Amino acid sequence: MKSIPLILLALLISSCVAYDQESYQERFVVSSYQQAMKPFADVTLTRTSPINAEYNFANVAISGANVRVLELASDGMIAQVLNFAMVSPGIYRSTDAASLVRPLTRYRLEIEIPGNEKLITATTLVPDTFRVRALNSRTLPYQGPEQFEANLTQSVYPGRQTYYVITTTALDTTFGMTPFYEQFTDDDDDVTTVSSGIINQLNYIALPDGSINLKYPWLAVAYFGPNRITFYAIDNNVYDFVRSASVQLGGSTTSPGEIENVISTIDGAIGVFGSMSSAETEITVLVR
Amino acid sequence: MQNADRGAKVSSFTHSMLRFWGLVSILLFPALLFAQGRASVVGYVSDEDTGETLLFANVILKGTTTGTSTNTSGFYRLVGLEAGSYVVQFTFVGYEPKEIPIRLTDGESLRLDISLKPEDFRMEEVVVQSEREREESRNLGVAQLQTRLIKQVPAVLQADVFRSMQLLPGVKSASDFSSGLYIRGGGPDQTLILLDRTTVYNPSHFFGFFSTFNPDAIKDVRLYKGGYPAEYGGRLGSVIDIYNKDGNRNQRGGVLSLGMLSSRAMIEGPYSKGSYMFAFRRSTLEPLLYALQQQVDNVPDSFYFYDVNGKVTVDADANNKLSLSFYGGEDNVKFPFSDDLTFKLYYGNRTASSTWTHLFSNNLFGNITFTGSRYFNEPKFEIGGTPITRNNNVYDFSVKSDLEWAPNASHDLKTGLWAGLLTLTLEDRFDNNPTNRSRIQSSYASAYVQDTWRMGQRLKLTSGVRLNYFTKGDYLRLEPRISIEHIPHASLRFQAAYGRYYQFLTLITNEAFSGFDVWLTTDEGVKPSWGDQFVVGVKTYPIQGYNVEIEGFYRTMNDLFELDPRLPDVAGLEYSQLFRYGSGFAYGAEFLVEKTSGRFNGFIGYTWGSTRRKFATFNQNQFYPPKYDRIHDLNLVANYRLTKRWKTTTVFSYATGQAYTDVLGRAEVESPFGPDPYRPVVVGNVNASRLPSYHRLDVGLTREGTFFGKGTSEFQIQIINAYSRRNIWFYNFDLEANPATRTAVPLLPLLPTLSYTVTF
Repeated sequence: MKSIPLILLALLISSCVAYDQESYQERFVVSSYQQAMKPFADVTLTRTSPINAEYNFANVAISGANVRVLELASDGMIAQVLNFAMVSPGIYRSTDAASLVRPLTRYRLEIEIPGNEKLITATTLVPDTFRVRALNSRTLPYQGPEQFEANLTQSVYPGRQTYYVITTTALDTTFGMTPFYEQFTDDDDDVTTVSSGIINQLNYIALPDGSINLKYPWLAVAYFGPNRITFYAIDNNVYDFVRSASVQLGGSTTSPGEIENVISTIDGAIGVFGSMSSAETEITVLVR
Repeated sequence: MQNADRGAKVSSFTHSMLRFWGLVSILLFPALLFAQGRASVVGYVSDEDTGETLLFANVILKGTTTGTSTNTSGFYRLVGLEAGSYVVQFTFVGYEPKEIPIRLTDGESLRLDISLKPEDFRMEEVVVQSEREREESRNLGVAQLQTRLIKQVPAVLQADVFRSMQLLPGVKSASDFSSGLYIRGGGPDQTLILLDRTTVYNPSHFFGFFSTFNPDAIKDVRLYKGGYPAEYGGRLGSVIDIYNKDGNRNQRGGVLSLGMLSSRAMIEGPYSKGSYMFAFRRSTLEPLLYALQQQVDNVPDSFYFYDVNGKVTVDADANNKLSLSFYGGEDNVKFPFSDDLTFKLYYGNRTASSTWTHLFSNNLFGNITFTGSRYFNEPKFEIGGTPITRNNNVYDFSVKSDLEWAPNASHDLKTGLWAGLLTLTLEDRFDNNPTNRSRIQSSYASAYVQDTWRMGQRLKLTSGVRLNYFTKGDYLRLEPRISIEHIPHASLRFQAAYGRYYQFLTLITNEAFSGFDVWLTTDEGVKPSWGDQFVVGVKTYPIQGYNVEIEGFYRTMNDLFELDPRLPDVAGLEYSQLFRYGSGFAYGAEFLVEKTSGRFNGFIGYTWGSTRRKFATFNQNQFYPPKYDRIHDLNLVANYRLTKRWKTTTVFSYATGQAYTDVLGRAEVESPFGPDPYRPVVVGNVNASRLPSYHRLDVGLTREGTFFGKGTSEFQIQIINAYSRRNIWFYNFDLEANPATRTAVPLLPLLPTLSYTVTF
């Protein structure tokens, strides 16, 4: 019995580990999204800035970095090296414009920054390609009795179901906004492209032939007239970045003011070096 | 193959049940070994005016240390007494003590039902209290909240049980907007809430702004802050045990209260076989909504909440009582922002229970209760022609039974069983397509045995074990509990307790808004949370009418599972992938100085404490303080009787600023999905900064009078946040501004409220 207070005291002392707020430390920021069967996308390289400072791309852009993307074979060996050259401060472009990003292939990004000893690295596995097989109708009245329904071939991603993001881009804004966006967007809000959140493949109806059927919600349509719908199948890096960035300043179950850094899949920097495959189709939305 | 699987599952289930009942038999066996005592005195203690049984009233043999308190049915037992003459003293706070001389012969069993008279107010006199008064509420970690105090404490909109509870040491609120209870470092789901022995899953109105319990209908509120005994289980932290009033057994009466934003009515009375009580409360927001709709946009079309409490008691005979209790409450809001954006929310609770209490013999008391509880929420959004709906239900049906046996003067034995079926259903639909559908069903069973052993006059040992079985995941868990009390002097107690606790449920909620709560359970790969609690305390009564209590606690939380806040979509994920897993601990010291009687009374409660959490892959796997962690927390409640008609109540609260995460830096990352870039922020340690200190003064003034000779009346004027302190809830960051701006989101401003109550 006598030992209980001592145990409690020891537990208390062991619990009182200092936990202070850290001071701001500059981080490197990488962004690059590679798309299957398309030329290699640019790599953007910047720095973070203090929260109370004005954010200006020109001030945070990093010049003079050595950027390359390595294609990895299935055994992990380097199959191809693509060098990126700076085209403007902070923007690095592949020197091999003819090479395309291959689906179900692993790529490693490597960045050397002068004065920074640590090599920045990140790896992505590109999702398999897919396509839109059919659309129930190309033209429908807004909020009419019928909704657009697309039939997609399945994209494959090793080890998990496919995660999608779907965007709608207005191709001609002169047809005017749909009522919801008309009422709830400010003049300076740009909603020519609106995006869904991340949607798991198992939300959709899988057909026996392996394709999936997807009913397109009216909420995703911001403009009447011609619109382009793009379906993206995303890799793990985009998935982790988008899901963590979207709840940083307010998730549905986190306490207000409780903030965690975004999930970073880059060693030596924050941001995202991710990949995706996409398919698109066009629809026309009529005023009802 | 399927049959083989089913056979294996049945076999596993049968095996688990056999293990469970085998262990129950082992637990209960020692109870049969105790020998029978000699003379005894037993009976019920009740209120003389209303006939309402008094829970945890004290009964002692004057001039001895032999004593007990009434149980949750208002029943007491003094057994194993020597033949002879005694004076039995009955005391209960707020009532005049009563002494009854008795003479017992060897082997006699005396039935002594008595009633106590409520104290009249006496301007100057200090009401003398027994030293043993409120013995039960002086037990370690136990606090009793009087409905009188609940009604008196200044409250936003209306008197509230949980808001009043938040004034007690060790109990914290998340914010001015939340009635959720954060007890000794635990979150709201770590507290078991029972209404007439029935579990209540979401006891809130107004999206969590206040609790569902109508103070007019409540007889007793007991809070077990920690180290709670084996008769309770199922939660890691604490228990709130609330009982509805039985109803006045002597005469018909009632209460009518008109408030600015809600009004209440209650009626109670006797009938040929017992008593009844019905209470109704409804919001009266319509005039305010109408006025707001004329002036500002985005005001709800309609918004109301109501609740109904009822209880009917049948006093069949001296040894048998039957009660039927129910509660129903709901909130309903319709919020049409425009033709293309509407929001509707309908949520609430229903509970019903029926209890039969039976006195088998003078030293064996038992009860059996059948309970049913339902919690539901049905939010519905319609945005741009796209409906988004949820239908969420919790059904819990159970039977529980307890036996209390006093084999001799040294031992009080309690044992009981609780078994039930819990069903959780959830369906989310997006654009009329189901996106998430789950139905979780689990049986549960628990059994406990608990012995209170008085070892001489100065030492009391309460020990017990509780065995739990939860079929979802097939978990069988044993919880030892022990507490010891040393009384070196009649006005001084040293106490210590230890207990292990398991929890099979977790709550998905939002601190700011509790209308969408979802409960989930353990399963294969999702183990039950568990924790140990160590509590020590000193209780003393240095001067007549004063209580001083000090308690220290340390508790652990292991295998915590809560919904991963970064999951964007749960469709198709393994159940175990829905959660993040972690651990935590909390420690602290609580101080309470209470003046219980006289013209000036009240209490000061102070808590020094800390709580931490750690989740895998979150905050670099470091422990961090949750938002409700506060190092210092002080509450002062002072009641002062100005004149025979006027009285005031003042509440002052001070707390260390809540933990928050300071944003240090920012970045921009282009988005492939739209024109706006992602603007991630860079933070350091999660919740390593503190908001400014919180403090607030609430004052209330009450005038008591008569209502045209038909009853008594109370007119209350209350001012919340009297000096209009702009306490901060959290900081909001606008990253579209350049440089980013930080705005403080404030808590409640100064708020005056009025109410008028008639009691007849």
